[in-house]
Amino acid sequence: MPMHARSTHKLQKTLVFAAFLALPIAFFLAAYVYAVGYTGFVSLHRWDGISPTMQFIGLGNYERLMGESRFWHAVANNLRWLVFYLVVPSVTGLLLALLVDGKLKGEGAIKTFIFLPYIIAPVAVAAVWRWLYLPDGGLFNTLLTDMGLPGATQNWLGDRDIATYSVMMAALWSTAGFSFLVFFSGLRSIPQELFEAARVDGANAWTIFWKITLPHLWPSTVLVLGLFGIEAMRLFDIVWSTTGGGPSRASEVLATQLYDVAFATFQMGKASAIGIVQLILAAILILPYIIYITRRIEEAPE
Amino acid sequence: MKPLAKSILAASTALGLAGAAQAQDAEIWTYWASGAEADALTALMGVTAEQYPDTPLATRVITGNTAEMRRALQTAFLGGQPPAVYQSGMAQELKSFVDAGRIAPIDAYVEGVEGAAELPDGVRRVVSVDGQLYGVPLNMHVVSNVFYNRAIFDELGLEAPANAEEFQAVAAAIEEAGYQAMGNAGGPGWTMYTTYSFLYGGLGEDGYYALGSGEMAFTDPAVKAALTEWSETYAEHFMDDWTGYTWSDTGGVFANGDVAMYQVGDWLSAYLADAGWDYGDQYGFFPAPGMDGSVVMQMDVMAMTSGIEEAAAEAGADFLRASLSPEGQAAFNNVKVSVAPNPLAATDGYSAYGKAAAEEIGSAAAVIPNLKNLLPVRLGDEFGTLIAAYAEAPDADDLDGILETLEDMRQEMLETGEFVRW
Repeated sequence: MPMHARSTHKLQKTLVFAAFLALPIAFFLAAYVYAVGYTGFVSLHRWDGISPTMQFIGLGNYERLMGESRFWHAVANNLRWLVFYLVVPSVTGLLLALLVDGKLKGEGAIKTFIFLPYIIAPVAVAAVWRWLYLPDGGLFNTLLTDMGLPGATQNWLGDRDIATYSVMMAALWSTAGFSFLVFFSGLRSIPQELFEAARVDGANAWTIFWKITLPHLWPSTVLVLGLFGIEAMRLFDIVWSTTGGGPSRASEVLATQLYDVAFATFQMGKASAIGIVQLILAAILILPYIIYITRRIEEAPE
Repeated sequence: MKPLAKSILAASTALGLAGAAQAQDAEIWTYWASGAEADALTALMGVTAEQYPDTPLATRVITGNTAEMRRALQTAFLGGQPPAVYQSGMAQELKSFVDAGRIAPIDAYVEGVEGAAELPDGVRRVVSVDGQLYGVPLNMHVVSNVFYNRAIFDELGLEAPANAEEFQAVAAAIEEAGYQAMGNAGGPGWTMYTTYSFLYGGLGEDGYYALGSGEMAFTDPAVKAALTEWSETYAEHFMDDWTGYTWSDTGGVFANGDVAMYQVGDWLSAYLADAGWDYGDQYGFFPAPGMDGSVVMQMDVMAMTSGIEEAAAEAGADFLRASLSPEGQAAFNNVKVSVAPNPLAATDGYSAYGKAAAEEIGSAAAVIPNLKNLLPVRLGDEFGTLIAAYAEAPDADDLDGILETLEDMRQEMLETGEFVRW
């Protein structure tokens, strides 16, 4: 190929790449870089969200946040949610997948039954669980009373000590279907020959689980933990719809506090500071996961 | 012309016309999405159409409450597409938009509307800033009435209590008979609402306004005395597990006959009507202890945005005039089961409770605004949150801590000029 033809071809190729990249880059800049940058800018100001002007106060919003027990309580709640999401729905989904995988009749119906809550909107989940949790006439307290355990009844969403954990149970019901489906797909992709060979070699069920099943489920585990980790840091809907962050802000997480501060008490600058801290916190916690995933993609054979 | 080109032209024309129609219709934004609220707005739009048949108006529902409305307005202002008129809270909520230069004074628009000059003083105060009117008060709800279950009162031979001492005796008798005395609900507002009559009774009308205007310290002994009386009279008698209920959940408990009394705001009457309860038969009401012939109310307000196109402003002004007119107020409040602030609005269409409430307001010594709306929003929010937490397990030492926290906030807000002298 002549020299100039080769360079023309290379230029065309570059232009095609550039054309394909332009839209996502523009979108990334407008929807992410600009949005985060503007939030950071607002966080340095006192602003009610509707005035045409803002008052620059430097790091004043951050200083106030750092001195507020309300803010640290929300951070602690987000961390509780992180631990919860990484452990409870993940393990529950795995156990359900192991239980259902080829061992039960009516597998299709059971899979649908387990996965169904995941596709229900968090607001609807909250409405259902608010009813289940009603102190008087709610399903849980009624069952406990009928079982002769009236002393075990709880004010599930109204007790500051347990409200967060009550919402977590609703979240478990809603999200376990997702981890179940991912783990179930992972189980089905493990070659059956491996299990047969292990059995021939005399491996018991426990050994098979630890030596074959779990290692082969590693990609599914990474996916589930990563997405649940992100969910824990951006959690909003189910908390807001179930308790509104109450009682007395006990179940508040950063996103619900941000919303309350921004739109119920008109402190847009402070709310933006909460958003930036939330972003930093999420980045610190989730960055290792992103790096890990990126490396795996780079290392994967083409 | 080819069929495809024809189709494109037709679609473009249709879209263009739709766009033009949209541009002509001034929008009214509310968060009345369903039920009696949505029906009441429809009735009001009907009156507006009768009074101003050539005015193009469209309504849009912003689902949620004042917070959602604020979020939607913020976006609309940024995009330069605000509505002509929107639903607002009274007092501080309205004032924050005045400070931001986002709403326009409406005195000139509603001047001459029948009854406009006769709005109750307490109403006019909280829709005006610096002497100018910024909102049309559309409906009033009394938040200082205690609803009671007539069957329980009759069974126990109880009379409606007239003061805190009598209330405590009535509550004790109810509890002794195995019922729960007083309903309440979780959230930062409902518990705070129940304190107003005690603050009003303890501080007097001037003191109540002084507290709302930042002129009285929260650590003032009179404030503590009022809240202590509230604690002994109400908080000690709140139903079990009330923090786990919404106001309507507790309405259900009240309608089931498990709780004898409930003070939450008289929208409860609409809830009870849905449950088949009639005022005078299944339930009655009495003024909360300390009101002494006055009422505490809250209301929805319609405000007009500033800087909009002239045509939209004119259409919005027509809507405001219709909203304040006796006909518009009657149409709206008949359906919403609330009371018209315009004293000339007809009350024949009111429910039995509505008539009683209208009579109560009409003969009230003073019509007092909800304190939460008078206070700067974050102070009101903090007051509500702290007092609700206190009421879970009342303790005099905790009350001192709460009042000191609120006083610190008051001092800070005095420096930043966030209070308004109502």
